[in-house]
Amino acid sequence: MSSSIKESGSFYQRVFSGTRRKAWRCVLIAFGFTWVLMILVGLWVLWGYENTPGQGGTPPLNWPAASRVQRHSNPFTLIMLVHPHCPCTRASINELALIMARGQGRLTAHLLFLKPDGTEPGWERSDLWESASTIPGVEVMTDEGGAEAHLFNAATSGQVLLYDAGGRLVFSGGITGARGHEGDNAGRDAITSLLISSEAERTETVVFGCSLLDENCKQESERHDHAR
Amino acid sequence: MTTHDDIEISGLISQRAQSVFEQHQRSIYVQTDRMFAVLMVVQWLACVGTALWLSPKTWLGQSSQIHIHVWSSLFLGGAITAFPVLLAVKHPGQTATRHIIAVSQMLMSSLLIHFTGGRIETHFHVFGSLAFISFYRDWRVLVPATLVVAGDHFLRGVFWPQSVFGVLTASHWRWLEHAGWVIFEDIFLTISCLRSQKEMREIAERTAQLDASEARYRSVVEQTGESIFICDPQTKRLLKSNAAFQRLVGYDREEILKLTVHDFLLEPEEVIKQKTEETLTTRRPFTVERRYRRKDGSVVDVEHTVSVITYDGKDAFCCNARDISERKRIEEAIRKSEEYRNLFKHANDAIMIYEPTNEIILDVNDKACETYGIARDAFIGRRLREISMDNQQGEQHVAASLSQGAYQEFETVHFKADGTPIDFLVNSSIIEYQGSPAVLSINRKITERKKLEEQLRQSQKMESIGTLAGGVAHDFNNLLTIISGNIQLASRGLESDAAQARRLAGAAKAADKAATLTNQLLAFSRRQQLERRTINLNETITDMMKMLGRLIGENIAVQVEAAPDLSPVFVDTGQIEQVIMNLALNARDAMPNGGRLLIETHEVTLDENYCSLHAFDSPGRYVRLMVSDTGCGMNSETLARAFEPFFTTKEVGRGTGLGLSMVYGIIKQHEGLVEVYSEPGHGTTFKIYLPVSNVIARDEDSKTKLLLPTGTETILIAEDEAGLRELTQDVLEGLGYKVILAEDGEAALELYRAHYDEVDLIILDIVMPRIGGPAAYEQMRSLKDDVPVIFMTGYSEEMAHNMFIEETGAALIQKPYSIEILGQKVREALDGKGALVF
Repeated sequence: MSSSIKESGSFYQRVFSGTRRKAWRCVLIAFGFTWVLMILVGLWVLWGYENTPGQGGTPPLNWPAASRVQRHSNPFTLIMLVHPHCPCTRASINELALIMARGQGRLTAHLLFLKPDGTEPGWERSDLWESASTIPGVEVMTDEGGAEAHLFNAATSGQVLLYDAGGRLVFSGGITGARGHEGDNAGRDAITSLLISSEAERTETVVFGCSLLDENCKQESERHDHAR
Repeated sequence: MTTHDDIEISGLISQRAQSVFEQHQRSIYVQTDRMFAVLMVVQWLACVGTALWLSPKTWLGQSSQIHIHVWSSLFLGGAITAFPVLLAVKHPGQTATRHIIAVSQMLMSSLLIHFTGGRIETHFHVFGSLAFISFYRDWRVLVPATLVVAGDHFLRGVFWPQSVFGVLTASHWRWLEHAGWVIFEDIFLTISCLRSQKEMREIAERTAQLDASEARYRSVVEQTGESIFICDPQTKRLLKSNAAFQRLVGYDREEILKLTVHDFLLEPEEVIKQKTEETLTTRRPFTVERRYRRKDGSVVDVEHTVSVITYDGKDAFCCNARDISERKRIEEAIRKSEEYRNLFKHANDAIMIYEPTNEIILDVNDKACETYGIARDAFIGRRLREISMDNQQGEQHVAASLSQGAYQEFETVHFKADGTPIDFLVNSSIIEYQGSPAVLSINRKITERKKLEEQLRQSQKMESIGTLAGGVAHDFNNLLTIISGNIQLASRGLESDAAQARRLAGAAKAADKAATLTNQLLAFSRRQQLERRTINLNETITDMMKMLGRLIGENIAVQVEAAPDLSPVFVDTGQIEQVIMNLALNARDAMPNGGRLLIETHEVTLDENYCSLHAFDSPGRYVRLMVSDTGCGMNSETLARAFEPFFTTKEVGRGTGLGLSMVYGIIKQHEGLVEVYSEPGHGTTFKIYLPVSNVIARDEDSKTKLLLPTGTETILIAEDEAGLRELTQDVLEGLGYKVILAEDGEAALELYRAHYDEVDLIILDIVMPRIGGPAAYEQMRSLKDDVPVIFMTGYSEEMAHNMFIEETGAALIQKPYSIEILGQKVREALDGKGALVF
């Protein structure tokens, strides 16, 4: 008798055990899908962020006379506005190094590192400053209080402006395909083309980078843009 | 030829191999899951760290906030990591766990590639991860990993090629190139996984076979009746044991592992240590018999074989112990049986075993055969009644033994084969013999004991008669001394009256004869004073031959056979002459019609055995005097009473019956032994043993001429016998001395105290009422120690005082004494010659 009870007990145990196993499997599968979905959503959000460009500026079509930057006699003068602590701009500087390598002798580049008012001396001299300084043909400068950014009407770090020998704007935009992503991109291709053939399919691209202006300045700039 | 058992064993081994393989595989899965759990957490932390380092903040002019890379690395990376890590911890080894880990790892690669902007270098994370995933040795895990990589590349290649390929525009098939390289690696990893699985299966099969072999070995070891244990030769601690050993020593498996050899092996530690070193050096197995102490304290004998083996890579002793208690018990039983058999066979008593109902003798020992004069084969099968005289009594005792189941002891007479009766003391008891009840009869021969008992009885009888005779003779001596003294005194004044003088002479002669008779009685009772000298018995016999010739007569031939170089004996010559003469006269009377008298001397040694058989307690060297005749001899009754005083077979008036009694008394007084052998019609032999003397013979003249000197000194006399006291007074006063009389020792003491300065000599009877002579003299000497003393004695019992007499230098007068001797002795004492003994 006891043996049969024991056997029936083990039978029920087996049944319950099998049921539990199935339930566990279902839970696991459900959880797995949820997990995968969550990851995909996460990746999608990340993807979205990295493909979202910064605020595009409306740079002057001619070289602003008030600029402290001396335009050189080279056929092209390149201006890049840089937020010294923007991690995405590292990719822009690396891309600039490639552009400088390809346009050797035809291009002078000025990197204007933003130094907002009230910041400590040397705030602008970040690792990006160091990296940029090593690129041949590149002049690194401090943009005190964002005066040059205002003159060139740039709002996003990594904003590149290319003027020809006559002081006319031939290109404006970013030189990365996404936030912080090096590699082929439309901006680099356009500049390289301009340097080589003085022609390019695109003269404007979006800029990926941190904002050069804080929230107040940004709103003022936007109002100013609307007014223009 | 393959048997059913072989097939079954093969199947079991396959099952076991599969089990081992699965166990091993699961172990690898679990280990790899855990490795990935750690790796993924580290990877996640590295990811977060990289984000914090490369892009910690995003800026808005002067202000900044946490970069989305940091949040995504933290949360997205955390999400990718958390689930597989949780599974690895909670459900390691599960199929789902490792597949999710693989997917997760590839997603992490994707995230990293994304973070690095599709840097080609970051793609190595994919290849590295695949290699890690192959640690599962399960090619199937590579499939989801590859699918995730391919899917990721496909999707991003389509929608955002720069994020994965680093270029703006890429072929829609470029993901296939990347997937192809991943599959290329997968091929090698799959081959590696399959090979690993194959090796694992081979190892599992070998392990299963080894397990089966070990199980067989373990089963043999466990099932064997031989006790086996393994011990560490250094610590002597037990490392392993089988069930038989546990049963042998009574400890269970766990207890045994706490034991050392010293806990149960009954052998000194030093011996064990020495044997251990020797065995480790020679590495030769040895077998010895040892004793083990069990847990309950009992001891078991074992045969113990020790050999050196390698156990867990080290030298160890493998000990086989076999319980030999039963063998030992049987050996001991056989040994004891042999001992009992020897006891039975060589016992000094005749032992027989017989069947109780019909008294058929079943077995006898050697002594029984020897005692009864019957060979063993002839003995067995006889009935007891054939050798037993008192069969009825024996049967009754046996019946009593049977009824009471007890041991019985009785005396009986059995017969030898030649019909000679033998006295036996029989101890019978019921035993089991060859499975049936039997009577064990131990028959001790007691013929000699009975003879000794008879001798003892005779000796005691002679002793009591001697005591009686001695007492009578003592009193007679006193009386005869009075009679003789008074006759002598009376005779002095009657020289003119011849008739009266003749009468008194007749009375004196009768008194002398009475004194002689009394002396003979004293001789028998050994109460004579001996005057011993060292003599050669041969010379004494030679001196006596002339006299013996006259006494015996011519019809009897006297022959002397004297041993040459005969050792001297320390004897009273007169007494020994008396002995020889008495024996010669006895022989003469036994040979009225003539015959031959043989006198022999020999020197013999009586050993303890001989002495014990003759109730004699002084073994040593003796001179044996044998006097044999060819006379009528004596029957046993006469022989038994031969030495009794006044016992005679001669007609009335011919003998006093004291001749042989004197011989007996004199020889006993000389610490000798008398034996007589006689058969009616075959003559008689007397054997007299005298101890050999170590005293150098002295040539001294014992004869001193007796004078009758006179004196005027004062003499104190103490004598309890009034007649003798007065006689002595008369004699001494007649010789001119002044006499003071005392009736006993105490009176003498008082008188001496009053007159000690007058007294010149003291004469004291040794035995007196109240205070004896020696005690009285002791006290007198304290008053004046230079006064001489003479002791008087009636028999030699008083010679117990001899030492005292020798110490004091006193003289001694033997009663009855003559006037001449008394006068002479008194004078010598007064003149300072008191040391002489008469």
